[in-house]
Amino acid sequence: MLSSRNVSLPARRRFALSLLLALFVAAAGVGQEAPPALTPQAGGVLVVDGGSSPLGWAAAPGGPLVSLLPVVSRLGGQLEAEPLGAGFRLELGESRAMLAPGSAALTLGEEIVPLTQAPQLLGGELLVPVDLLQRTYGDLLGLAFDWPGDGRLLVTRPRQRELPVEMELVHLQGITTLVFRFPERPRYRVRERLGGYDVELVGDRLLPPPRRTVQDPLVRAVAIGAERIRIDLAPGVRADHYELREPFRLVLDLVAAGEAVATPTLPEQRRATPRVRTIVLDPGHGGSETGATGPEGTLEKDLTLLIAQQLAARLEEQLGVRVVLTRTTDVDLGLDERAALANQLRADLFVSIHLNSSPRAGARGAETYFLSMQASDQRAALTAAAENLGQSVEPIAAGPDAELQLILWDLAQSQHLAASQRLAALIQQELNVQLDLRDRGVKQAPFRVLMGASMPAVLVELGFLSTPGEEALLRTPAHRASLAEALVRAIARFKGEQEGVAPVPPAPLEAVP
Amino acid sequence: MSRRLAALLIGAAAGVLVVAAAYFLFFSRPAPEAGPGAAAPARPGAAGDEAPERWTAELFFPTSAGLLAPERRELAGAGEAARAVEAAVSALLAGPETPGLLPAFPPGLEVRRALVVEGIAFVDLGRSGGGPPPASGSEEELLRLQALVHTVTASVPEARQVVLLWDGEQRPSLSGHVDTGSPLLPDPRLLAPAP
Repeated sequence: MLSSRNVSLPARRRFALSLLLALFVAAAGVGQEAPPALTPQAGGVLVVDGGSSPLGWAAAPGGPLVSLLPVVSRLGGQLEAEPLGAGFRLELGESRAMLAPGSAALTLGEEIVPLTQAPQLLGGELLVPVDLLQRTYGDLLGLAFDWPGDGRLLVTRPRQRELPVEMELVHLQGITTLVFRFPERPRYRVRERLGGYDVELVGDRLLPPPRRTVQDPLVRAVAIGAERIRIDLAPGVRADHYELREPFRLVLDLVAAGEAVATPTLPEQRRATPRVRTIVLDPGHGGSETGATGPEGTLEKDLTLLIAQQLAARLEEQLGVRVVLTRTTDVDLGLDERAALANQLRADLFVSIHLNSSPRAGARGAETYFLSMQASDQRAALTAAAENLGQSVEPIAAGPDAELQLILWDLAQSQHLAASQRLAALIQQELNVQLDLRDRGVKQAPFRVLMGASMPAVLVELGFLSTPGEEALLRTPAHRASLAEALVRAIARFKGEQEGVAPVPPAPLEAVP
Repeated sequence: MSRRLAALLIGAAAGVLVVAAAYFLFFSRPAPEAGPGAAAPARPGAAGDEAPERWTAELFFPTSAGLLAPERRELAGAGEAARAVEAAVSALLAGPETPGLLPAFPPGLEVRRALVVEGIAFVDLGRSGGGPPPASGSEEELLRLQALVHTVTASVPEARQVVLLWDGEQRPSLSGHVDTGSPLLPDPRLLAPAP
């Protein structure tokens, strides 16, 4: 029941907010750098279709800045200054970009696009970085810009690429995620139209996959052609789109606006022969992160480690599986690192072990959680925002290790939610029996440690350390052993179900809030 | 260049960046619409009154049932949305006055700063003397976060989501469970039934 729900935002909007957030945080300081000094250069040349014309440019610490007006004159478009000196508007056909001297970002339609460096005014001349030209003229008109480093700006029409594309679609909890996977980033734009969206290729062509029928409550049809992907949506469905890298993916999150979406039962996505061979146990907290503290001073981080160690021994002994603990000592360990470790080990299960606390007196009992989907979706969008920045700006919630972002990937846990829910239900059932609890079903919450796990993953709260009676019980080795035994039984049932070797009666699932 | 002149220039540059960022965020977009919290308590000065007076905030605190219940509180006027968020969250941190309601946060915390942008309230918390966020179990953390989010969104209609910062930084999680790397929405399932 307890849940702190997140909301999905488009990736670029998130970037804008993080940009503003960064400014918000830093505004009180005086650490802002002044605009970089520009060194005007002579002899610049704009080369288009073999012809050349003069081009003003200046050397800046972040690379060359070139005069925008000659480019506009040669390639077309309209450049106008906004009223009140607020910036400049560049119109290319139906598209409009807005840029401002001193701001290392531009808006392109509703998108906010980061730039490698800010445009500058020099002697009344608007100078822009070359990547601004690529994100405007390049992406919209299929042109390529090259700066060989000798004062020439080369504008070419690159060879048309033929890119294969694969499509994946998943619908969970009212959200359909449509993923188009490419071997490299295509030149494209997404256009909204009546009844859906079109992904239009600009200068590239697609090698469509075999035609397939889409069965989804939000998507009527997806037609992939050589020059366009046509996505027809059910009435009232809107889309947010963002990019993911390595491999390149264009992701559209589709939700029905204004009304609840009938969520069909999703068949669990299983591997051909699911096995449970490696289990990662995660003793909650550690080091300076103590977790909950009992009235007698018992620390959650200490008991979770004891329980995890005991559980690991029993699992290895009784199930013959390999068990790895995310920590074996009292050390600090980031939440993302815990899931990343499980991913690196290609674990088949991830169980995070915790003890609860509550401001209410007398709270007792065990609870088992799996991830709420929107949290995973949010994380994917956040990762996309970071990747769109080329890692030049740390995402607002990223861990210290950039490589970690490569281990944690988008939608990782979303592919295992059904299995996670099943595992959570089995654990809760066994704990209910062990602790003689009234069954309140399993719960969902946006727990960070579960988000990046690419295997069935749950977080189990084995009791309330804040309640004196439960604290005393949890300090008892016999009670901890009984909890571990309940978890072993639940995991054994799950393993049996997955591997089809030990049929067990299906556990009834309560509605999950 | 003297240090004073350099400081002035740096300050001016920072101001330009803030204006530019806000400009990029807002231009070519419709003005932020009123949020779903239209029924929230009226706040004088929200429309630009010169001398805002007292207004009523709606603070949410945990109950003995593990849910959240509101407490209406008269606060000093704060016309600007950000100041209203600061006032409401400060009152939340101070604890409930209604018998039977429980404090959502431990003592010693304060609001460093607040900002409201396009429906998102950025709330920066910290300890009065510095230090880490409060440690807790997951239920306590969920109740804290939801008490904060419900308080902000119910009291300040301009805010529909909350991004939580601690000492100026957005953390993966406040106390090691709930993801705070994304804006948080109020979860109505945590509200106690009206008496």
